[in-house]
Order: sequence, then C-alpha cells, then structure tokens
Amino acid sequence: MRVAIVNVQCPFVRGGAEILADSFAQRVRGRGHTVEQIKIPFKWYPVQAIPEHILACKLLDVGVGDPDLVIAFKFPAYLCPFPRKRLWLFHQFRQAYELWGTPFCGLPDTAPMRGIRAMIHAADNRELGSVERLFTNSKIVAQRLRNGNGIEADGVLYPPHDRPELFGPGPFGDYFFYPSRLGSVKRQHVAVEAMAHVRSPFRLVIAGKPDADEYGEQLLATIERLNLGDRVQLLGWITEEEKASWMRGSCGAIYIPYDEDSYGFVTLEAFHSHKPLITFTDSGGTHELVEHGHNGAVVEPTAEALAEAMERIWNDKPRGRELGDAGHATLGQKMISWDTILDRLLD
Amino acid sequence: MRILIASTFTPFASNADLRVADTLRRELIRRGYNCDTALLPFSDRWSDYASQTTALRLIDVTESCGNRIDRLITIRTPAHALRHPHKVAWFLDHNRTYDRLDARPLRNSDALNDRHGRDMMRYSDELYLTECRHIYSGSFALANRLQDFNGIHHDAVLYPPLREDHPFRPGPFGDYFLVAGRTDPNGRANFLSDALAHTDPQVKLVVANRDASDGVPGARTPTVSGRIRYIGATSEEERAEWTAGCCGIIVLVQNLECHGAEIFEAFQSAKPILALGSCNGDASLVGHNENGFICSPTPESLGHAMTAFWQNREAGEALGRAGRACLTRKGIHWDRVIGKLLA
Amino acid sequence: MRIAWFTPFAPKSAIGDFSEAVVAALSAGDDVTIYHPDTPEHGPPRISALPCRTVPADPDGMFLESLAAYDLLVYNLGNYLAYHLPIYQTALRRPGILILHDLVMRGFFSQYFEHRRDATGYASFLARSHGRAAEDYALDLQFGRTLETLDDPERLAHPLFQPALRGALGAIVHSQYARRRIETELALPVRTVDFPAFGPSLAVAPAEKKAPAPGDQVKLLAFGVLNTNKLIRETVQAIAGNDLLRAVCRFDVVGRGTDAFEWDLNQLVAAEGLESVVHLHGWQSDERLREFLTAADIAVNLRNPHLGESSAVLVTTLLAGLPTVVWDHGYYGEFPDDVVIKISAVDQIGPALARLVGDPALRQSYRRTAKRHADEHFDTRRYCDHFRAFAGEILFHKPVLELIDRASAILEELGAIETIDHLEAKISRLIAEITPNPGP
Repeated sequence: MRVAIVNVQCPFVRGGAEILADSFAQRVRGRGHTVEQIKIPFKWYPVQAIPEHILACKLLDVGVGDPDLVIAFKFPAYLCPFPRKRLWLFHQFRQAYELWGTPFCGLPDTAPMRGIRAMIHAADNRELGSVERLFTNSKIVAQRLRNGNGIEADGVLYPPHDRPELFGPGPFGDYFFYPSRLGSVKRQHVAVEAMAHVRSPFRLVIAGKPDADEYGEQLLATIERLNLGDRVQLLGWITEEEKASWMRGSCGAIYIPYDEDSYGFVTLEAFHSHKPLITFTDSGGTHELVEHGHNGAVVEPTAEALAEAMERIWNDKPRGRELGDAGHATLGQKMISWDTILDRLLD
Repeated sequence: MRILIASTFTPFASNADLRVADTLRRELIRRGYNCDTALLPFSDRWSDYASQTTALRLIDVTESCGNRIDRLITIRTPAHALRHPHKVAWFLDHNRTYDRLDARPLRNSDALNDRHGRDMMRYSDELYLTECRHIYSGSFALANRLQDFNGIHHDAVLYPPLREDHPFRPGPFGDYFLVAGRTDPNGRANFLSDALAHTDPQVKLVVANRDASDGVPGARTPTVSGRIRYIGATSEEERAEWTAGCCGIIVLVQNLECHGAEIFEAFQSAKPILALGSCNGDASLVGHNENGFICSPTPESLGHAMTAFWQNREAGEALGRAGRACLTRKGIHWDRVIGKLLA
Repeated sequence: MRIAWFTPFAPKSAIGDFSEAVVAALSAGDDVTIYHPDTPEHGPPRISALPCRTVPADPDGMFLESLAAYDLLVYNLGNYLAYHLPIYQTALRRPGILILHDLVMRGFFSQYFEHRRDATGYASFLARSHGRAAEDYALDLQFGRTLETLDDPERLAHPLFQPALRGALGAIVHSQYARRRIETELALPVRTVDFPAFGPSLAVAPAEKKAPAPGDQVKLLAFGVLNTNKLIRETVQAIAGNDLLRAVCRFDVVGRGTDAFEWDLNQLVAAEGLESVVHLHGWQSDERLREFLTAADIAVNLRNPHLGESSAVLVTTLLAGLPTVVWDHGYYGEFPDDVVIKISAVDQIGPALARLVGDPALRQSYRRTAKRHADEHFDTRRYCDHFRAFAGEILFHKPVLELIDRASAILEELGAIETIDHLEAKISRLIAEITPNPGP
C-alpha cells in the first residue's frame, strides 16, 4: 500500500510531534508499505497568513503519486483534500479553541481575528467531520474536539515511546529522575525547591537542555541559594541510552509540566522502567496514564507537596516497586504500542 | 544563516532532483550552515498547474517560528513560485510540458486550451523567476531551454556534483563496459545486444540499472549471450565498485545534458565516457576525444567504439584522466556550487 | 479600535459637522484620528480639539502604507470634488467603510473628469456604470445638446454611486431609500443608520414655546442651498395665494441660490407685494441660524424631485422641535406622519401651511412629536453603537475578502484562464467552504 503522511512543518524546528510522525512513518515502512512524507510549511503570523495557509492546503494535491491512503496529524495539513484520509489528531489550532481568550492565546481579540477564528472552525468542522477515520492522541484532544467542533473521535491512540526497548527495570537507587527540556512550563525549578523540604537522604537528578539560557541560569542560582549543590545534579543534554540508564537506577521519576496536551515521553520512560511517576494536579495529559496511589502520585502543584510525595515513595520501597509495576502494566492496559496504532490506522 | 531548500516532487516516484537537494542540504550542514528542506507534492498534469501554483504562492517561507529564513534555494519547477525576498533558483529540470503543449497540432480541438495552458505557465514562470536574485541551470541544455521558452538568461551553469564523501574512485581498467543510466534510447530494447554484435568477442557489458523490458535481453542473438550481465538496481557503493573496475562508461541518452549522475561518477572514477548522439557544441560536458567518445546513435557505431577502446587501453586511460581533471576545470564541486548559491 | 476617519473638515461643511459630532463621541471608546484634505480647494480646516491629519492631494505609497497602523478606515464621501477627491483616491486603494452622504454622485465624477481634462471620460464612465442610455445622455450634455438640471430624472436614474462605492468593504447611509437602491445594484453590506445629533440645533432652545399672542406673526423658515427643487418659489406663490398666510405669516429664507434664481425670487416677491412677508437673508452664521430656529414656528423643507439625499436640514429642524413640511417621498417619506407634515402636490403647500398657521395647538403637537422623535433617533451615542456593530461585522468578514483578493491577485499573476481548470470557480468554492456565517 502507498501511504502518504501529511504533516505541517516549521522549518528548522523539530519537536515531539515531528519525531512522532517520523517514527510512525518508519514503522509503517516496517510493515512493508511504501511511505512518502509530505511536510507543508506553516506560518501563522501575521494572522491573515492563517486563512492563506488553509487555502493552500485545500489546493495542494496530496493525491499526486496515487497513494492508497493519506494520514495526517495537525492543522492545517489535515485539511488537504483526499477521499481516503485518516487522522491521528495531535493538534488543532489551539489558539482558536481552548486557548482563545486566555493569556496563552497570543492572538488579538479583534473582529478580524474573530473572523479568522470562525474560518478555522468552519474549515475544521467541514473537514474533520468527513474523514474516513479520526483518532486523537489523548482524551484531552478528543474532548476538545467534542467541545469545539461537536465531533466524536473514533478513539484514542496513545503515542508510544520512540525506543521503548532501551528502557527496563532496575534497582531502586537513591535519586529521583526528571529528564525533559528545561523550561518554566516544565517547572524543574519547583522540583529543585522541593528538595529544600526533603529530610531523607535522596537526591534529585535533572537531565535536559534549557529552552532559554536564562532558565538554566535561574536553576543554578536556585540550587546555590538553597544550598542544594550536593543534593541536586544537573546533567545537561544526555543520549537516549544514558537517559534509560539513569531511569533504570532511579527510585522514581518526576514529570510536572503545566497543562500539557499529552502525558509526555517521560511518563512512558518511567513506566517502561517500572518506576512510579510523580505529577501535579494541573499537569494535564499525565492524568490519562497516572493514577494517584495506583502507579504514581498526583499532588498539588507546590514544592512542599512534591517533597512529601517523594518522601513517601522513598520511605516505602516495596510500595514504590508496586507502583512502578502497575505503571508498566498500564502501558499494556492502555494499548500503548505501535502495533495498535498501525492496526487501527492502516487496516 | 538559515537556508531553506524547497522543491516540488512526485511522491512514490524516483526524484533525481530530490537526491541533489538532499546532498546540497548535507553539504551546507557540513559547512556549518543551518539548513532544512521543504518538499511539496506537485502533479505534472498541466491542467492542475494553476491551482497547485496558487497553493505554492500562498505558502509563506520567509520565517519559521519567529526566526527569519535568510535564503531560499528552489530546485524543481515550479518551486520558484514560493515567495521569498532572497530567492535563488537552481534549475535541474525544465518543465517538459512546454514541449508537449507546443507539439500538439493546431487542428486538435484541445489546442486552444493547450496554448492557454502553456502561455499561463510561461507567464507565471517568467514572473516568478524574475523575483529570483540569481538563476542557475544544471546544464547548458537547461539554460538553453530557459532562454528559448522563457526568454530568461541564467547566471551560470552549476552542475550538481556528487556528494563530497562519495565512494567513487579510479581503479584498474577491466574487461567490461558499464551502463549505469538509461538503457533503452528511443525504446529500443535490444540496442545493447545489437551493439555487442559489432564488437570484439571479448568485450563484455555490465548493466547496472534495468529498465522494464520483455524477455531475457541477449537471448535473441546467441553470439552475445553471456556477454551482457544485468545486475539490476545497485547501491551507490556497489556502483562505485563496478565503475572503478570498468574500462569505460556507456551513456545512452541522446542528449548528454539530460544525463543523470553517471557522467560525474565516470569523471570521478577517471573512466572514459562513450556517449551516443549529438554534443551540445562547446557546452557539452563530454568532449569527443577530450574526455570521452561521441558516436552515432546506432548499434554499429557504439560497437566499433567499444572495440576501439578495448584495443587501446592507454587512450581510454588518458581520456579518463582528462575527465577527472575537468571536474576541477569546470568547477563541478560543492564549494563552487554553494559559493554561487549563497552569493 | 484604531480608526482613521476621512472627512471634509472645512468650517462650512455639513459633513464636517457630522464628522465632528460622531468622532467626538466615538473617541470615548476608540482611538480615532480625522484625516481631511489639504488642498486649496478644500481650504483650511475648522479648529477642533480632535486629533487631525491631512490627506495629501495625490495619496502616495508612503501615505497609503502609513494607514496600515489602523484597524479600520472610514471614508465620508459626498458629491463635491473639491472636498472629496483625495478621500476618494485613498478609498480606492485602501478599502474601508464608506459613509455615503449623497446617493447622486454625478457632480463628483463630472468634475473629476474635468479636473483630469478628459473631455470624453465622463460619458464613457456613465456608460460603463449605467449602459448606453446613460452614455448617450452624457454625450448630449458634453456636446451641449442638453443641460443637466437639478430636477432631471436622469440624475436619480443613473446616480453613479456604484463607482463611488467601488472596493468598499461596506457602506453606511442614512436613509432606507439609499440602502434599497444600493442593495439592488451592488453585492455590498449596507447599513442604514439614523443621523447623529449634529448641526446648529444642538444649542437651540427646547421644544416648548410660549403660546402666541394675538397679532404675533407665525414664522416660517427655510434654509440651506436654495436649489430649484427646494420649491421656495412655489412656497412664496402658495403664501401669495392664501389670505391667512398673507396676513399672519413671515417667511424667512436663509441661504443662497444662483443669482438668477434669487433675482427671479425677488421679482416674484415684489410682484406679489410680499416684501413684508418674505425675507431673503442670504448666508448667515450658525449663531444667527440658531436664532432663526429658535424664533421659527414652522419649517419648510420641500424637495421635489429628491436626489436620494438624507437631509441634514431635516435633522436640524426636528432637533429644534419645528413642525416641518416635507414632500412625501425618499428620505422624507420615511418619517412617521405625526412627526412631519407630508404633501405630494404643489397645490397642497398652501393648505398645509394654512392648517398649521391657523392652529397653534396642532403646531404644538407636532413640535412635541418632532422633538421626541429627533431626540430618540438622532442620538450620537446610538449612532456610535450602530456604527461599531456594523464595523464589527465588516471587520469580522474582512479576512475572507482579503483572502479572495489575495487569491485573485495570484490568478492575475498566473494569467489563469477560467477554462483551463476552472480555478476561479474552484477557489471561490473553497473559500465559501470556510466562510463563517454572518455575525461575529
């Protein structure tokens, strides 16, 4: 089968969605299909560029080369017309939906912008309502689709980890592990501050590169100010293999972003490694997998609450192992695997 | 500097231009540039030309996530329709639809639409090309087409070099000629076996790319059976091995300027080129008795040429050395190409 | 919202009065800058505390680019080239909302081609806008075979508002008549909004007047440009033919007409022996006009034929609480029967005036209803509310129009021909698929 994968592209930027799309393409090839990736540049500013790119997508012919199937992930690429089109929806244009009217919208609340927003809704309603199959990558995205467009997805296909085979169980060491891009939305600074409330002799290991240099400097300053130099370790950027090794030796993982769409790779990495995960009540997508007291902890978004959760896991290692094993079982229960995704999208 | 290479392409088809675009990207990255590619599907049905070109025109590649894209290099037509203040077109192929539409007889009932379509393509090509800071062609033949069909004079010929870490290298002159490009000029399926009938019986042929053909080539003429070996599609490394060990490269396309990379592979490997058809005058890459041999497009002529090289290896080696030298002389290397594209 | 408000702003411009009132009120919630012409023909602008800038005589690229700083461009357009040419030239190139003050724009375009020294341009222009019949008439005009008078039905039949509105995102007019005419001929969003409160009546004394004493004259007032369609002559004749009116009326006429008209009127007044009844005052200051409005008992605001105009004079007389006699058509006919006194024949002028003159209670009743209607409808804040609502709708749909313009520009670049792949129809369909329903 010829499968055309249509996605948006911000040239020079490669984020989680792009990595996921590339992984997906690779696995579709792995099933013996011929795959082409079509990446459409998308610029959403000035705001009039949005309807122009919508029209561009509607004019582009993704049927060139006669694919048997077109699979799309994001706005506005999923608007490219094709009769046999299936969506694994990562993103609508959030600024026109749940972010509208919030400080995170980034778009002016003017009459022309409301007109453009209405055009986005019209385009989505028309196209998303008529695809052959529509899956979302999380319940949150499915709910937004329901609320924003009145469209019911055919189901949720949870994104698997790109290289799950790297991760596995190991001893429960003396540190909690938080691997992610460093940034204010990921809130590593709260994890550092939590260590100031910890009395037990465990450490915090943070891996990743800062999105902005200032944030990295801020973290270092906080560690110094709280005299946590021997309790908090910043690894910087590490390879996937190194990350797997650190995760394997930890006593638990931390992932505490603010209001994310999906659960993030960290959650998967922790569960593949049989480690419990601590997250916050306002972290968003992690709640689709993490259940308090079952496979991890979901606590108030404060340094004190995080410290307390870490202490509880540290002081009851058998219980920590139980949580970690339950986390691993969650992966199977939620059918988080590439086979599931390929079956549902390709068959 | 952020450099975006943009090209149209045909999904699920062999896109030689894309290989060059990818090589350009890697060579730019090797030189420390921040480079990415944007590849957009484009049907060659001329009736869809206008709507697809409109789509290209609507897409904005001047910035990405708040960061300016400093340069746009366009490859396959009509990627040059994309808007950018610093756009450079590197033509590696010219729209063949111009010829098809021109060739339709006037009495054809669709002729008027064809003429309109051709005029529209020409009009928009010229408009968008004049937006380019520079226009480069991949060969003199392409430059001539730009001039003839669009009245546009290019800035220079930039032949697409092999990537710098390519595996092609000189080697001993063995007992076979290598055919690494198209094998059926004008659809003549038995051209090669017919040519072999006019050669020294020790001459062999190795054909690296097989075109769709019927039956077993060579079986028709018992005297050539066993002297043609079809090795099918090869990896680059395999092709480099075969090239290094041959005594000459046979290029069967009638117009040398429409070749693939095999000419440069031959030059890198210091092997002489035996080519069919007409030269393009002084613009030709392959000069008769300079770095290769041009023969008439008949099996007899090719056969006699193969025999001549077979019997005079020194002459072949001299032509091969000259071919390798011409890479430098004609500036067929990435430093020059990138220097021009980013000027 | 940042608004660039294009308007004549000469001291004597009624549109300038209108703009000053509206912009002052809009500025309470929006950031509005007045742009007025800077030509010798326009003359110096009135003194105003509102932020003002000038429109150059021939708006150039730099000026047009500077308008990108505004969310909305508003153009006030009327039938007088000297006041409106730079405004029109800007409107053509930077679409906005057009407030059309005159439905008949023939004078503007005729002067436009004269200004460009284009002897045949006006005739061709009429033909393009209204067809051969209009062109033939224009050629007759050009070669002196006919004269275009104010009461020529040709003017209202072929008014030339279409090219005036070319490229506009939407139009605001002040009468239902104008809206209907525009909607019949153009696919353009049009809104009718009642006039705001503006003009000399704003400082006029309230409606209640003391009861007239015996022997008091009943004062009739007419004012403005004395065109022949204002039926001033016919009103004088009606007074002459009615004993009551002769005996108790005073008819004050403020404003000027042509010399010939005034001479003729003076002759009529003398011939009818009405020198003590009919008084021609010429132009008067606003302050003096207010005195006339305060003193008047009845206003005469007849227009026949009408030219699709919305009458600023009527706004003034109703705001002043004056019973006003009007011709029952066009804008004037849209008012309730208890707000204005309507006639439809010349021989009804005398009886209508006599009825009012002879019945103080009737006058008082009209005074109240006229004032109430004016206060309710000619409300500047109400105008601003309607304006903002309309602007919101227009701006809501502006991205769709801009997308259409962009796609059209690309098709033009391509030299695309409809028959090739029906691209224009295809793009129209695709844009229609993403066009939101009306209303933000």
